[in-house]
Amino acid sequence: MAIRLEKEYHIDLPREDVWYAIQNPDILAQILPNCQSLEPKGNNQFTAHIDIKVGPVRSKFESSFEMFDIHEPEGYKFLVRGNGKNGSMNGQGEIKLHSNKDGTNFTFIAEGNVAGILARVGQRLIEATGKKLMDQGFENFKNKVIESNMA
Amino acid sequence: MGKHIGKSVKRVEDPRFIQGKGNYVANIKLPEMAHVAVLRSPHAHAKINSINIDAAKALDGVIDIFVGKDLIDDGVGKMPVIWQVPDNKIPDRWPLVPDKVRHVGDSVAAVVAENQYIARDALDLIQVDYEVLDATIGAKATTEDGKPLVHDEIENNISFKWGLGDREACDKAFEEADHVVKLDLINQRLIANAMEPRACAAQWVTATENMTVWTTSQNPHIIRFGLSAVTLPMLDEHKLRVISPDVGGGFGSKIFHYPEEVIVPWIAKKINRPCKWVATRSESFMTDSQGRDHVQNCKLALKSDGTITGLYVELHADMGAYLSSIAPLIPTVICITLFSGLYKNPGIWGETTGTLTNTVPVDAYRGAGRPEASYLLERIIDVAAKELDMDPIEIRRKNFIGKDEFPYQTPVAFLYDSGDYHAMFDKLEEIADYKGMRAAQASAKDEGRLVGIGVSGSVEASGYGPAATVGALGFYGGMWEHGGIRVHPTGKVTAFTGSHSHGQGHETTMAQIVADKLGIEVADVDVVHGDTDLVTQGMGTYGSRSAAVGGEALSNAAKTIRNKLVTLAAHLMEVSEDDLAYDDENGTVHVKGVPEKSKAFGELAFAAYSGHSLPEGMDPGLETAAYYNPGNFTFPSSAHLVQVEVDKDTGEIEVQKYVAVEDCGNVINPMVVEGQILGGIAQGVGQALYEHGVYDDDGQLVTGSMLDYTMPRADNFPMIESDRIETPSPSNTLGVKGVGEMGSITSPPAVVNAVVDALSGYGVKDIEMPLTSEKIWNLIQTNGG
Repeated sequence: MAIRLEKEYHIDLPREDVWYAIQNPDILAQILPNCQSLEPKGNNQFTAHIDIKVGPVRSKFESSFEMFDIHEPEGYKFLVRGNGKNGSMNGQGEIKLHSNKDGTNFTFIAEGNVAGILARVGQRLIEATGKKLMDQGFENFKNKVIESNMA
Repeated sequence: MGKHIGKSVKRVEDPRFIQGKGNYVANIKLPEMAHVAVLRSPHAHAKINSINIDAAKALDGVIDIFVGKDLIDDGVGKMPVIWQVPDNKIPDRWPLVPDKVRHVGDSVAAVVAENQYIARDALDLIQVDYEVLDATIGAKATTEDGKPLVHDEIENNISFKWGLGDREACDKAFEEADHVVKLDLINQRLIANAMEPRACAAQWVTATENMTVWTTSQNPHIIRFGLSAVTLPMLDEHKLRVISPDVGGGFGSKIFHYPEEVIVPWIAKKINRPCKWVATRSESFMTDSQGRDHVQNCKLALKSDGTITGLYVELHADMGAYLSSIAPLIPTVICITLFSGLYKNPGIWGETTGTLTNTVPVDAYRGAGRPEASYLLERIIDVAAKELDMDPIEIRRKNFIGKDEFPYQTPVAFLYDSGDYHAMFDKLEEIADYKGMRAAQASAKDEGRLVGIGVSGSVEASGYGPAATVGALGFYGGMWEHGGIRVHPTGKVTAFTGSHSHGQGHETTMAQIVADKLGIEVADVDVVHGDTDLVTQGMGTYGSRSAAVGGEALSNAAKTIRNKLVTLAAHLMEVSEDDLAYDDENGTVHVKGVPEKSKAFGELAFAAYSGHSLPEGMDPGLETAAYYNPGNFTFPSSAHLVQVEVDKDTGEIEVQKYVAVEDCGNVINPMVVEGQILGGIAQGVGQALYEHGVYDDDGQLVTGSMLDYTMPRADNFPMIESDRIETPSPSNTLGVKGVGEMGSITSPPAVVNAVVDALSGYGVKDIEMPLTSEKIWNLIQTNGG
């Protein structure tokens, strides 16, 4: 089943600082919903450990995460593909950064499909859960970015 | 008639069920038993590039893992389709798919391990490289050009087309009609959800080369035939025993030959250990054959006075990804044949297109084609009544087949045996106080409340037969039934039936028939069923056939026993057989007019076995078997009346009153009959209001658990008032007709008619089932609520 998440956030830092932050896998992992960690494999490819908990269903995925169409400092696109014990997920997304006078507008778009028990049992909750996690994730992300810029 | 038929004898099987002492397949425990788990596809449509079982096989406690190719290489056959219509394109279906998955839940690999927990853990370690393909869903949409093909060789995903009726008369009816009603309906996908999930166990005995298979089947003899003739041809039928012990509900979903019935015995033989597989509820949702799923485009032709002259129906039936065992029958032969319903209608034509989609296969589910027929007919007549400003009962009465017109030949093949539809509706109106209900409805309307009254009536064809007819219509089997009676030397009796009880209460009702015919006590008759070694042959239980066909076989066997007892008594008492009478009260044979000169049942049974004094030419022993091949179907009928109230603010529907009058001919056990009616109504109301198996565009089953698939509950119902009339069937000597499916056939249109009636002020003509509160609330809002 198809899922779509899209939201625009604001961060009070210049675009270059935000761009720098989203190159850091540890910081980036914060904003990808359900992402536990991102391990670089080189060549803009990562292994993403994704752990989705939706209602009664929990599914862990070891996924591939790949960045492409990289335009510094405007953003990039990404592809995610993973198989887990309770199903599979795959999707694509985009991070777009726009400068404005107060800082940076940060747009996150992700579209994907899930199959298996997440679709069968979790479908009613998965999008709402994803949005909630994305908001939480962005707060964490923002704090980390600000923290790392202050340091 | 004797002293037991017609009595509400308490069900003899119930004490063990309510004490948790039933013996189900999951209870089978054998020494050295291993456990099987099956890997299910998470995708609706995908190519399997590779399967890596190494990590799973390395798990401690895993015995072995098998994939599709392992079975095919060993000579395992494809899953058979045993009811086919002409020019039916049959897609290949393997027990484990070798190359491609075609629905969520399709079987990919099987693990056998020391226990079920290890087996399931091992499933998580199997790595399948799937190449996900676009999926196709929708009974009608799947036939459009450019849709993905479920099976490459089946063009436009069309498996068959089948039509029936008098096309010429139908066209003429519409040309000459005063009034034509059009209605497009969807009869939604349902999931049976028997309380007991499917299960299978198997034991191979190397020394004797015997295989025993325990399976949750409604028809173990058919499974034995399917296994030995088609799917596991390495097993010989005479050395294969199939047992269906206590089975916790089937509703049709346990008729079919399933892949696990092939996989489990094959593995048991392969590893030479007993094996068992028990489905989880999740597996049941995505592997039990599902029900209904029709798109129906209908037209009804009428005269201005409400006389029906024609019905034209184009039907698209979603068969799922493969054809389940008897799937082609359901939307064709068993559906269109009931388009005449309770009515005289000279111009009927119906045509079904059976289509393939990336969804779980669809097959018989309680009612099986007949609820789909009844729904379209009883809905379109209701719409006609509204458009012609007639009372819904009045328009029905105007078109009823009269009680003096039986046997009645419809234009859609069937010869109705008996019925009295006017009397049935008289009783319905009287019990419900229909006029009073309408008056109360009018005053509720004045108070601004949304109260609706709905009626429906239907005819069912049950007890399929004769064998030659079902053969001509596409069945590979016979649809007769077998019944055996063994009288023991002490006079106790074992009755063997080829019917199978999975909730119906045969151990009681079949014993009532035998005890009644032999004049003995019900407690002295033990009914054996569900075991191919104990019961010689059988066709099983579905299509409301057990009493009309299986009961009649036992009744005929009892007659043979009676005849032998009379011959033996005449010999022992040295009188002519003509001078003897058989006492139905106590089973004695006595001289006519001299009751004290008699031989008791047990006395004669012992004499038959001692063999000390038998008439010339008589063999010792007292047992017999009968095959009964019915001369015609039986045609039960029913009338339902429902009152609902719709909450304007929430869209909630409350069923406030439910009255059902049935005619299932003579009744063997009124309590059991009422139980069948109530259960059927609950399932039908479930379809009307709650249940829906939903797939998204990717073919993902999004109602894959009880979280999202709503089943009816006891608190959704008022006290259902049920009563009956009895017009005995001339098709069998018991005069019985089927009753198991009537409730679920007649109730959905009654409920929907009631809700549409309640919302008539909003200009609502039709609402798609299930009538969820969300749907109703939106309707009210968009129509000026």
